Amino acid sequence: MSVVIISADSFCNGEEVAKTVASHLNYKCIGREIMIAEAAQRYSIPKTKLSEAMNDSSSLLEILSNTQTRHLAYIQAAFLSLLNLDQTVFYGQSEHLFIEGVSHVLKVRLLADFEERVGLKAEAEDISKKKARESLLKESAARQKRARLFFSVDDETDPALFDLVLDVSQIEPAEAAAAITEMAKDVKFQAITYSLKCMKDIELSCRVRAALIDSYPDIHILAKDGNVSIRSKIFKKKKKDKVLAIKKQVEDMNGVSYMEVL
Amino acid sequence: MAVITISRGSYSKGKEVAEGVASKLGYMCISREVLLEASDHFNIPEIKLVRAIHDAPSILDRVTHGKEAYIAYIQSALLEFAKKGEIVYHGLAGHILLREIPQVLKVRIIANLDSRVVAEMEREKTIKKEARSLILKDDQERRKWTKRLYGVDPWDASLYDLLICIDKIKVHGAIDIICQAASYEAFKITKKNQQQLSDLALACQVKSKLLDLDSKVAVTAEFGNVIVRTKTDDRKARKLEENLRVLVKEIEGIHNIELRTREMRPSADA
Repeated sequence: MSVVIISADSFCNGEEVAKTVASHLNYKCIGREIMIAEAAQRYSIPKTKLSEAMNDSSSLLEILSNTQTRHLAYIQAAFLSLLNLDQTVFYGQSEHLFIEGVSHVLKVRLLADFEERVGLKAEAEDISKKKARESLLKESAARQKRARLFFSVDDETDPALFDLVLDVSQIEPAEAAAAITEMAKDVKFQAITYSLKCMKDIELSCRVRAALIDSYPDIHILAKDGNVSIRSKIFKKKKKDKVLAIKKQVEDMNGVSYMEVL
Repeated sequence: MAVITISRGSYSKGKEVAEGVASKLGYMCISREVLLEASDHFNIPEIKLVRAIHDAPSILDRVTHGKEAYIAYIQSALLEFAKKGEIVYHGLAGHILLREIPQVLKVRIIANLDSRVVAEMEREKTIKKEARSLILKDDQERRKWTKRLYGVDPWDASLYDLLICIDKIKVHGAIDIICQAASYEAFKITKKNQQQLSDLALACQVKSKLLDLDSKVAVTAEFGNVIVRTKTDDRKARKLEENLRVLVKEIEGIHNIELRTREMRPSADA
């Protein structure tokens, strides 16, 4: 069992490649829409608001009110719960930033010639190439800004964040899918007890964070084998009351066996 | 039949991968051979060529355009190998020197910073902080010269067809995936591509012979018909023209050669 995350720029055949890989491996294929729908249902936030958090750059007001931080925390928790379910191929754009340090997760980026993408966008949306180019550049700038703000990553497309990067201008989608499939079958990307445990720990951390982030936007969670430690600067004032409130909220959560607030 | 360039970051095991790919496909694996060929053909000490391609240009280089000339020699030598096909080149700047040929499979092998720092600590017997700083300095140097000479950032993933992070995929995984990619239709060197490679090799060869007279000369070739473009003054242009007549006899494969003065430089030239 492995998990494949395919991060593709728009107009790079990400969905097609992901579906082919999933079909080769007989895995479940999940896209961004399913992840957003799951987060919307779990945290009762309209899908459009969550989509905005993934697609648009934050306004100053949103940064100050932590809206995008909260929404991304909900999406991340939903994403991890979906990956945790079973053998999965996920396709999106920035979701590779949601998970780190799990050996059975194969991270792939698909890219294509920029001018080719401009042409495809212009045709698909019936707009001029100039407008298509501007829109793609704006999209890319928003992604970079979001990566810097929320994931402390200078460039979310940095090749070092992936195991494999494929240029689909040259490589056919079917060939890219075959290469990814072969790689996913490799023993290095098979789940082992430790990597599954890492995945569970990250999923629990994200779920606890999403549950508390409304009240504590700067909260840091570390989960290990069901033991959850929680840190926040806000705890400096009225710590006792806050700790009690958090305990009430977290101790009954699925997977939490012990909890400490630092 | 394919031509593969493997660009490698430090401690990425790129050489091992290149040798593995060449052995699996039965191709020639080259790196230093290109420099030796250039050194021999243009009578330039190998060390000067190594410096030209590894270090960022100095202020003197920027005035004399010495590095551009050396790089043209190296490009010319590399193209001579490439036009024969079935090679894996893992020397510096292969993806840039052959960037005009889309059928060349351009691969980059990288390793994450943490594992490179550990390797540097072991090799240099140094502490983590120093190893990290040495690696970052080397990265910066490589980026500087590539940007200065070619106007591209070697870290830009769009320069490559395939980029592999060696930490998880490991050497044998990388070899398998590159060999698989080499069999894709897009990277097969057909007769038409071979003509493109021969034309580019010819253009480079002509350019390398003219750089002493005009460091900004641009040369293109199509089916052996060579066009030399220059913006130099009339006196130098006349000298160039005289040289062209000699080159026709000296270089094999030139059907026709002409000089065009004060023309805009085309985007895809040698």
